[in-house]
Amino acid sequence: MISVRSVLFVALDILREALARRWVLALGVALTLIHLGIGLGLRLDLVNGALAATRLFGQSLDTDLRSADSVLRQVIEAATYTVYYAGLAFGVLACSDFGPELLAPGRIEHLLSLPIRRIELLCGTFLGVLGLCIAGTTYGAGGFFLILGAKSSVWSWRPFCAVYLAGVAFFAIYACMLCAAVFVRSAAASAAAGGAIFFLGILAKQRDEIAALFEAGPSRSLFSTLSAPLPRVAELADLAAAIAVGEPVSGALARLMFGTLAFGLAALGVAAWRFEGKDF
Amino acid sequence: MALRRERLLRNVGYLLGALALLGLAAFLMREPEAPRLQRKALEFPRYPRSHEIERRETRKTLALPAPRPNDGGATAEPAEAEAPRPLADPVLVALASPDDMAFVLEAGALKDSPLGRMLLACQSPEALAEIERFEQRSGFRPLEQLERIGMTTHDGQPVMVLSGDFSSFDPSFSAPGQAVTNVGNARVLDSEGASIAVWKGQMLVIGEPSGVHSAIDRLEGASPATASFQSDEAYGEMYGSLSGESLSRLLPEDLRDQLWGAADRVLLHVDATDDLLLVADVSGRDAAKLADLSRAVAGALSLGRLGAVREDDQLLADLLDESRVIPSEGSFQLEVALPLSSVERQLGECAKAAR
Repeated sequence: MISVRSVLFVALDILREALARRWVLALGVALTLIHLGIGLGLRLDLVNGALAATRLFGQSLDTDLRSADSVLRQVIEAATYTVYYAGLAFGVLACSDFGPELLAPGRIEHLLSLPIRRIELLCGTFLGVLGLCIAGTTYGAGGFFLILGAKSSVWSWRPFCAVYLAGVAFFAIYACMLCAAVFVRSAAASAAAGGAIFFLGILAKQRDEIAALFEAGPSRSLFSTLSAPLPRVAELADLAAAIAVGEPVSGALARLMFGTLAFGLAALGVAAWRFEGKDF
Repeated sequence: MALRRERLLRNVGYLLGALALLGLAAFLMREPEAPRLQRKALEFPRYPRSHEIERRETRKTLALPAPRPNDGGATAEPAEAEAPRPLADPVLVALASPDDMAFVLEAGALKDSPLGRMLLACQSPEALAEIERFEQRSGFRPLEQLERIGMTTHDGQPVMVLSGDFSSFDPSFSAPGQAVTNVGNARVLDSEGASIAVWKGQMLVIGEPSGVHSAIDRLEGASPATASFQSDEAYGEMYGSLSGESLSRLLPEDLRDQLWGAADRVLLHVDATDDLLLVADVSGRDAAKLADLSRAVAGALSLGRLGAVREDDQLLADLLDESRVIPSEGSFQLEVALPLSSVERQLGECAKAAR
């Protein structure tokens, strides 16, 4: 049985380690500066609930007069896509060395000497990085949507919830990154694996169109079989945007979410198999 | 040895689990339907489409009287007298009353649109029976023979102009004892409060007697037509023009005062080929008053939408959702959209089957 306490202990250790790093501080400062910039530079003139003028750093952005929440829907949609994709890209780059660091000579031996099982160590690292990603998303997206709500008096919980779909996509991506790190102890290899899944996950939206380029037969069947379990990064982004602006979403939401999580767990399973069998 | 075997078995378990999860992921993400049910971009009626230009040209069948030599104060050149007589759409000529309001509903086109099909499918049996009785009495089948319904005013009294195939229409069907007189190409039935005229078997004019006779005079070339709107402004499934003064009478009190004196003319176009899309061009001479008016209209729409959402009035909320005001030099455009799905939801099952 996996001990939840041991997993949380490792996850907290990862968070502590991240906080001690300069880039986390830099990320926090950068996000705060972006929030301050938007907060001070964005001016929305509202007349009876209609957006009469929008100025960003004194520059007029829109001349149409329409309901404030209609205009903000477009802003929220764009912000959701930005937070989603930028967050994933940043996560791939920034979290690529946690896995290799875990396996660094000296550290891994020390960790294995503790009363913690290997699978708990792996899961703890995974959860710690995921927690870091969710904390960053909460601060970045939450701050932005709070400022927008305060400026426009249009409040909605939807965009805030929608960006957490990026967490679902990152679950699958980081599982592959960790798996790659267990096979090859290299931050570059880990980032490359994450980047590849990120990219393939975007391409997976066009899976049918790409499959049609293959000649009908074994090659097309092979492509279809291999690409079927890929996490649908782009489609989750579309769902996040739809949720954020209050559009009706199709029944695909649950299937894509659980499918992506299953892919991530499969990658973790492969990582666990390799990690358990590895001699240190 | 046993430890090694247990470790191997556990490891194989991880791999088998991973394979099963990959299969599950592939199963769950197999051909997912489009995750986002996006609304398509709305194309508001801002200019005539090719079929509407074609329709407009084919409708120009009425030769207007040639310009008189002293028209415009200039001395007529001999060549001018031989100039071809300009052609006009007889319905627009009949509607060109000196009053400041005219509307046209393209009933034939609307009937074949999704909205028209829904509305017809949702008629009650009583209403359908009433139409059938009317057909039997008048000899006119509105659902097949009616093309356009126009409305204008003459000295403030409404006058309706209907176009289509009225060759079989009997104007005396409502008052069998009364005589029908011929005025030019029109057969006219005059009664005390209202007149009915059938012009050339292609147009029916109903209204207060002076309004009906004035329309006939314009069609016969006896009096000049002062068009409320140009023929190139006649596009969409509904279009019309009215003065700011006329419109202000129709609006709520808080907007009425602001409209008064700000808008000289309001031109309306409605496209009903799919979603119901309305564009209103509001023009005026006082730029400051017009800007105030545009902000007031945008605010009213926004407050209306918020109110509709609060009161759970889905139809109104949908209507106002895509509404916006586009200010420009000397005018502003108001765009309002009502998704067909909202109409369908409001009408119920009968509309769903007809769509």
